[in-house]
Amino acid sequence: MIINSLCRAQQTFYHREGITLPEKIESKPTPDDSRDGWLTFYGLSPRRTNTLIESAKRFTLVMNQFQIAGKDQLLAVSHDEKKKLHKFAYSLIASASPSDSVRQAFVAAGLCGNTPPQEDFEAEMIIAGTELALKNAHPIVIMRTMTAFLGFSVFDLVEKWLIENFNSDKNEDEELIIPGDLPDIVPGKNTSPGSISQAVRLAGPQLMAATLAGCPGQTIEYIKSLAYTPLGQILIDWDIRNARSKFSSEELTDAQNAFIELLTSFRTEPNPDMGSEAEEWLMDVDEGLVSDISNLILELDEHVLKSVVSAMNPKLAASLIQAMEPIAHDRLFSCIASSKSKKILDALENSVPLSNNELTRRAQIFAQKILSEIAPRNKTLGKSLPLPAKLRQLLTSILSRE
Amino acid sequence: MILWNAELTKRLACSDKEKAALPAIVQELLAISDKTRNEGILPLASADLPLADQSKPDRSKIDQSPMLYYGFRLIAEGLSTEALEGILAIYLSTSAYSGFEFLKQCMYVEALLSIAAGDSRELLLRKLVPYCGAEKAYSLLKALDAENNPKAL
Repeated sequence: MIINSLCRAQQTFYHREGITLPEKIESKPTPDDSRDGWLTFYGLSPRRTNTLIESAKRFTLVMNQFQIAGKDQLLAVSHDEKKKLHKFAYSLIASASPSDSVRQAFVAAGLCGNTPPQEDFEAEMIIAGTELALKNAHPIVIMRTMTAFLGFSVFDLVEKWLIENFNSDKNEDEELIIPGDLPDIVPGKNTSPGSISQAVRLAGPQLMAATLAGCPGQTIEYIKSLAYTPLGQILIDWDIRNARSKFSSEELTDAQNAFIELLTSFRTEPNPDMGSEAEEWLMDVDEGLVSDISNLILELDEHVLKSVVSAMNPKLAASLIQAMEPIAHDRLFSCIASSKSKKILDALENSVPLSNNELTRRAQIFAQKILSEIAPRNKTLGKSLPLPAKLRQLLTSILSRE
Repeated sequence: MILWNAELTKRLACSDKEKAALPAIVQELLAISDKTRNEGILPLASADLPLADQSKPDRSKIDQSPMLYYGFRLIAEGLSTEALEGILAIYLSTSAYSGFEFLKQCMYVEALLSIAAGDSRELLLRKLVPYCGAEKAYSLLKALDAENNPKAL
C-alpha cells in the first residue's frame, strides 16, 4: 500500500528540526489550469526549478554513460566534477555501495540532513538518483524519480528531453525469433486492446520483456502501440535488449507461454462487472438450450456420438461447445480422435460468440445428424424410431425450438 | 504489514462530513478502472486529448486531477511497480496538501498502483475502502456489493 511508502518518505522529509507539516490546503483546480494545478511544499521559483532540472539532466546523462562505458568512464567524470553532491554520488556508484546506505553516507559526509528540506532539495534528488543507479535502473526511471520532487509542472518538459536523448538505440536492435504462438494470437479478433493492456500490466516489465524478446518485430510493435507511450516504448525496448542477452531461448519460450496463459485467461473468465461483449453474451445465453445440448451429449450412445462428431464440420462442433456444460465437453472430446479434437479446438479458438438464434439453428442441425445416424437404413415410413424416452424428449425439445 | 506514522496520520485527518464524500470517490475510481480493463491504459494516458471533455466523464475526471492525469501517463511508461510507487510517493510527500485533499490524492495513488498491477475490480475495492475508515469499510463494502451485484442478495 502507498501508505507504507508515504510513512518512509514522511520520515525522510519532515523529521527534521523546525519543519512543520504542510498547512491545510483545499485546492480545487479549475479546468484551465488543472493539469498544472499541483502545489508543492517547497514552492520553488522557476529559476531554481530550472537549475534543479539541469542538475538532474546532468546526473542522468552521466548514469547513461556509466551503464554503457563502465566504471572507468564514471571515475573520469567524477575527477572533473566540481559540484560536491554529484562528485560524492559518483564515487558511491563507482564503489558499488549498497543502495540502502546511500542516505546515511550523504549524512555522514555532511551533504544532507543539517538544513531544512527546502535547502536540502538538490541533495534529496541526488540521493534518490544514486539509490536507483546502484540498483541498475534505466536513466529514464532515474530522471523521472529525481524530477518528481519538482511536481507535475515539469512532467512534459522532462518527457520531451528524455525522448530526445534516449530514442537512438532502436534501429540497432536485431530481431530474434524463437518458436512461440504469440504472433499467431495477436493481433486477433479474440484479443481486445483492453485485454492485451491488462495482461501487459499483470505480467510486469520483466516478464513482458522476456515475452517480446523472441517475437517478430511486427508483434512487438503491435503490443507496444497498445500498451505504452513513446517513452514507455523506449524503456521496454531496453528491457527486451537485456532479456535477449540474459535469457536462453527456452526461457524466452517459457515467458511467452506464461504471457499467453495470462492473456487467454481474460477470454475464458470474463469479469462479471465489466459489461463486455463476452459478459453480455454469457448473460444472454439460453440456459435451457445449454442444458438440452449437454444432456444430449451425455445420453447418447458412445458409438453414435463418435460417428456423428467425427463426420461433423469442426466449426459446427466448435459453435456447439459454446453452449455446452464442461462435463459434456469432456465426453465429446473423449469420444473422438486427437486429430479431430485439435481441429475442433482450432475452430473454437477462432470462433466468435453466437446469438441464441444461431446457436439454436446449429443445435437443430446437430439433432438432425443424430437422428440420421440412429435411423436404420431401411426404415419403414410411418414407424417411429426406437429411441430411449430421455433421448427422444431432448431431441424433441431442441428441434421444436423456434 | 502496514506502517504507522503519527505525523502522517495528522496530515490525513479530516472531518466526518468530509469522509462522507469518500465512497463517491471510490465509485469514480472503480469506474475508471473498469474503463482501463475494457479499453486499455492508453486512451486515458494520451496527452493530446482535449482537457475536460464532458462527453467522456471518466476522461473529464482524470483531466481535472493532475495526479490521475500524470499517473496514467506514468503507468503507460511501463515502469515496475516498485519504481512507480517510489515516484508517486515523492509526488505525494512533497505536495502541499493536507486534510481531505491529501487523503483524496492518496486514494488516487492507491488506485493508480492497483490498476498498474492489473488488479481485479474486487481487489481495487478492497484496497480503497480502508481509506473510508475501518468502522465504515465493512458497511461500505456491503453497500457497494449490493449495488454492483443486486442478484447476489
